[in-house]
Amino acid sequence: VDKEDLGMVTPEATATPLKLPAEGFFATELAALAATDRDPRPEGWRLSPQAVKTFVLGNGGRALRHRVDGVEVELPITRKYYGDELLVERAVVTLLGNRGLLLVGEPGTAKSMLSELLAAAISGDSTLTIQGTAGTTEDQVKYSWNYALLLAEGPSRRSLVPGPLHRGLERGQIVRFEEITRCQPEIQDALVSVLSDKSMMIPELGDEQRVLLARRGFNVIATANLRDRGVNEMSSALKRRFNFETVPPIRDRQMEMELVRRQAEQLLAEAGVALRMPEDTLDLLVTTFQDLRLGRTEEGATVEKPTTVMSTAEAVAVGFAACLDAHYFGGGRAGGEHVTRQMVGTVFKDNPEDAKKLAHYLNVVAKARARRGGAWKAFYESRSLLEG
Amino acid sequence: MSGGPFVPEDPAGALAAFLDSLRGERLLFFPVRHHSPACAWHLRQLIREARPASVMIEGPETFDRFVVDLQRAETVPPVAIYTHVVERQVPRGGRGEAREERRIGSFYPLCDYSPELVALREAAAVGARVGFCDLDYPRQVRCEEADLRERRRLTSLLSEAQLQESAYLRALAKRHGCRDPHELWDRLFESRFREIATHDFVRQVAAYCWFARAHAPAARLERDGTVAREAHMAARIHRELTRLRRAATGRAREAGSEATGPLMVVTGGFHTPALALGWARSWKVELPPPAPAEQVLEALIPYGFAQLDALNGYAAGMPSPGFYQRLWETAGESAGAIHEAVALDLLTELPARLRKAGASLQLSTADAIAAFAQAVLLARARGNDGPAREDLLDGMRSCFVKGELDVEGQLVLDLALELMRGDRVGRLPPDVKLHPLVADFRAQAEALRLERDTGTPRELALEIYRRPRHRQISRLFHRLAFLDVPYARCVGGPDFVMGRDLDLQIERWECAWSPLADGALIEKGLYGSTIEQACVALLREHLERLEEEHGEVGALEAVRAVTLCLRLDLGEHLPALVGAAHARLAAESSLGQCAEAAAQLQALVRLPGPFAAGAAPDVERLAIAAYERSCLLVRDLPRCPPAGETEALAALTRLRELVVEAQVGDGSAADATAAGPPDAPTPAVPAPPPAGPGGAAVLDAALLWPAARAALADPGAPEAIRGGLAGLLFACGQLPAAELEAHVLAGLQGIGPQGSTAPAYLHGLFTLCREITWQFPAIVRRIDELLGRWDDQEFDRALPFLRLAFAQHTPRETDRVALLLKELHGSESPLDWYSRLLDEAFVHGNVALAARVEAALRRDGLGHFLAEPVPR
Repeated sequence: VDKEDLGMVTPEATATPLKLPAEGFFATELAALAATDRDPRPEGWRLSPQAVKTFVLGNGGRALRHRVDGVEVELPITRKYYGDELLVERAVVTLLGNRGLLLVGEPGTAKSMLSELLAAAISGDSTLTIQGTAGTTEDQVKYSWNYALLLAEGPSRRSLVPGPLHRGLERGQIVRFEEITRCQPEIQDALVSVLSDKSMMIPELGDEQRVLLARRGFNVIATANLRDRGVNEMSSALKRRFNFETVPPIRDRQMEMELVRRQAEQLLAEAGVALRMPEDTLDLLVTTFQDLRLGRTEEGATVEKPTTVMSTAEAVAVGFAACLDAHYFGGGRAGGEHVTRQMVGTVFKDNPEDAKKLAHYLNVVAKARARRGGAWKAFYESRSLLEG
Repeated sequence: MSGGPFVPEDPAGALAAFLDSLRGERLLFFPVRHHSPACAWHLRQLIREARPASVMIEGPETFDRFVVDLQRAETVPPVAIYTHVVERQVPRGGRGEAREERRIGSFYPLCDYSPELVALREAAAVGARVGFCDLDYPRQVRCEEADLRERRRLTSLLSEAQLQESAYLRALAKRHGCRDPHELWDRLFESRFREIATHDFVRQVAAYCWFARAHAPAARLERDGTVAREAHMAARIHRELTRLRRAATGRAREAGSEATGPLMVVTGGFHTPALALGWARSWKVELPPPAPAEQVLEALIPYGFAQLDALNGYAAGMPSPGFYQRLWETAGESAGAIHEAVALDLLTELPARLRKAGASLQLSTADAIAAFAQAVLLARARGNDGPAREDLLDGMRSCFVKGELDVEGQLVLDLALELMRGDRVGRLPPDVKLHPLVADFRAQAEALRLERDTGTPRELALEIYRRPRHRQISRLFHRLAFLDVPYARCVGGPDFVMGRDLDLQIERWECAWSPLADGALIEKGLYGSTIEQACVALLREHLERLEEEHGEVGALEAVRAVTLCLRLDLGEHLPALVGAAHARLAAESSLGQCAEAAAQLQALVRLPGPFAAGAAPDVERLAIAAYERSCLLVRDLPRCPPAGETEALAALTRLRELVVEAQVGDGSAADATAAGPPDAPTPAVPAPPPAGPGGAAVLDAALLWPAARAALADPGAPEAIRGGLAGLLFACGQLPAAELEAHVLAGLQGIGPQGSTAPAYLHGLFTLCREITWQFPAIVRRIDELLGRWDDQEFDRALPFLRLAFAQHTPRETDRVALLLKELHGSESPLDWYSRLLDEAFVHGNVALAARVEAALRRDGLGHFLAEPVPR
């Protein structure tokens, strides 16, 4: 991937970037897929739909054999998204068509990650991103002007500063619109004409350049949270131009454990901490999150759901923080007590009732499981941390 | 056979051997998946090509008698063969002889695209002998080692549980990116069946099923009766082969003609390996004896898609029968083209359905186009030739859902599944001998112009007083409900049996025909051959229980049987039931039961409903009997156990209402003492829409007062009962105010083993006559004085009972009493009793704290710190 082409500046000689976009992080996997991809590629796509799916869901650990600079290389494609496979299939097929893709669901269900992975695989670029906020303006979405040039030369292609949408249309790439429902409705609706006509009007430019027609490969992946506080309703005109996909929280415990383990390990490695989360602590973490998320324990008892979202992302954050806590402040082995301590700060943010619900969970559910010993015992015994 | 799965040492070789065994010169095996259009299509091809001499089909061999009817063109699927067997079983915790009877029933459903039905009909077309070869149903049931009690619902004889639950196929489905074996089957077979040659198709289906079979645990096969059934099928096949061979040699000797066609065996693919490889021939299975004929019932009945849909929980076979029906009916060049045509049909029908359902979301043609494109692209991405069922559903999920799948998407998907389910209901030729009960039901439904052909629920509002037809429909519905036939459900209207809402004039029913209704009727066949006969027989069963001398049936239930009998319009059977009810009443010792029975009967006399009018004299006599028995039992109230007090008070209330109502009905108003027996108007017959109280049975109030006075005079009567009786007598003008006051005063001073008995007394008093509290300030003053004398402990103890006593008052009445108290205490503060700022625990806590502080101060000799100085 040509980073200059993407407009990324990496101070390579001096420091490593904090986080690479997906196409940078998985550059070798994308190259391997491109080299071995035998299925037909839609115009404007870097990979075939099949290979896009493989990139997101992995190929089950089989090594892809291909040549890089004349050298035979074997590389397995890792699994990156741990949710519903059929959803990925539908999403890819939607992007082939002429409607945009809208990923909806609770926070922390990997909507943004999925959108980033799809953009990286299809367009080789996941950085044409609009972050929706209450203050997003239309020129941040479409285009704005270099005012010095505008004064000097008048409106021209040279004085125009393209926004992500403009770039996506021009290059035939996927544009990502994060948290679209946080934007004002009039800003959201800027997408309506672009999605239906696949073109953008730039009335300031002369007749020849007035209409920017989309190249093949252009489409929009938006993400939205329909239940959160402080979101705007989408107009039905815009809804009609999107296919909706609901991204559910992961229901399979083994899969969620696998995901939390991997992500926490990756974060720990990046933080330079040589520590692994013990298996029983991981089990405790994921089970607790699933119980509280569903409001029902593994054993079938009802527990009260906290108001905060008990997402997998939060579980990763708690796991990571618990390991750091154990590494720097105690023991060197992350146990149940570290999980308790981190849950209060990481998950339960603004509602004191939530801490009470966790305390209840500890007193009732964890107590029964404390007999298993290990992390559950430490978890139960740390309930005093929640008082006061 | 050992317990674990049978996995051969050389799977590839074993599979090849199996596939080769499918097609012999004299014997052809066709493994099917039940309800699969692809299997049906290829089976039809093969029968036409191979022209078998005989076809044997998986299904109880006793079903052979339905073959001719099933083959007729006038039989329009879906139809089913219903069968049940009556099993006797020692009840749980088995006590010797007593055995409970249980009917175990199943359906054998067939639709247009069922391979079994296609085999039956095509065999007839090529002149083949055709029949079923499975074990008869009763023996199938007995070979299954399941607790019969767990089989409470009707099952399907063509269930695909063995394929659907196969761990092997589940894993295979997962590997192919399919949700379940249904989707895997669609992908492998339905989506491209036209493109596969019939012989290859058979081999592929066989291989698919062989893997499921090879990985099935043998122990389970033995437990669920598979082994016994397969051994039987193998023996049948062997016999038929021998017969064919003999016939062929015979014919050859006669005419020198060539050999006849082969024997074709059509069974679920799961069974084919055991039959084709000859495993089942070697199994020695001891079969249970056949069931006697009177314990078995079999009948051909129309069936419905709603019941066929596996998603409806009937464990039938495939989901969405409507979808597969369309696949079967749609003509096309290739499987892909057929699937596309069906998808297009459904996608254009759904928006119209959604509009009809009044959904806020409206789908446009553009949406339908997008969903179609999505489904086709998805199918292509998944390697299906055309959009299979799940591809189509996914297309809808992507394009028809505007919001979250489980919120906004629910209605759309529900409608989509409903559309794909279809609402087809089968028909039988008019001359097919219906079960007589079903025939009776049909005839009545037709005469009353009730729609019977759709499975969609409808709501009917029956004007049972004004329109004779509605009255008849109501009668039919009530009778069906009594027989437990799931056809119509009463959702509103007067309930004459329980005596509720009797003033309503319209009955509301929800009715929907389903094959289960026929099934239930057929099950009731043991009771009689018309609905009326069955109802009578069932009522007679009730009566037998009523007449058992030492039975546990109470008078109330006996009386309810009478009202039920009237509601079912079986008036001619009334005398026997009335007789039984009289007997039960005479033996009844519970005042509660008698009073309730009297109240219900009196209500029935006043509002006889559309049917009971003719029986008025009987009912009236019964009502009087119940009332008289109640009066007698009032004398026993002093011996009422503490647990029965509440019921006794409720019974007294009932009696008070009855007497007062009877007086109002007489026009003799509130002057209770004058409640002699004047000429009561006989109930208006037939009752027009009831307006206001009509006539009522004349209850002699003069019977009640002496009884109540005698009970009140009994010194041993519980306090609550004493209060209740005093209240009753006062409320009905039988106790002068002065006497009441004296009585209450005495009641308030009562002391029992647990302290004051005043709360219990008040509870009884207020239950019968709470108006005392605001009509007699003097009594309120007495209560106030009493409470003032109590210390906190005493008050706390009595509080729950006091609450119970005062809970009878409505909020407005409570306020009236409060105003009285305010005057009594000369309080200036405004009346505001309801504090929402402080909760009970808080107040209690502070009161306790204050008490402790006070005690501490006094202990330390600092009592003078308190606002009220301690007396020196």
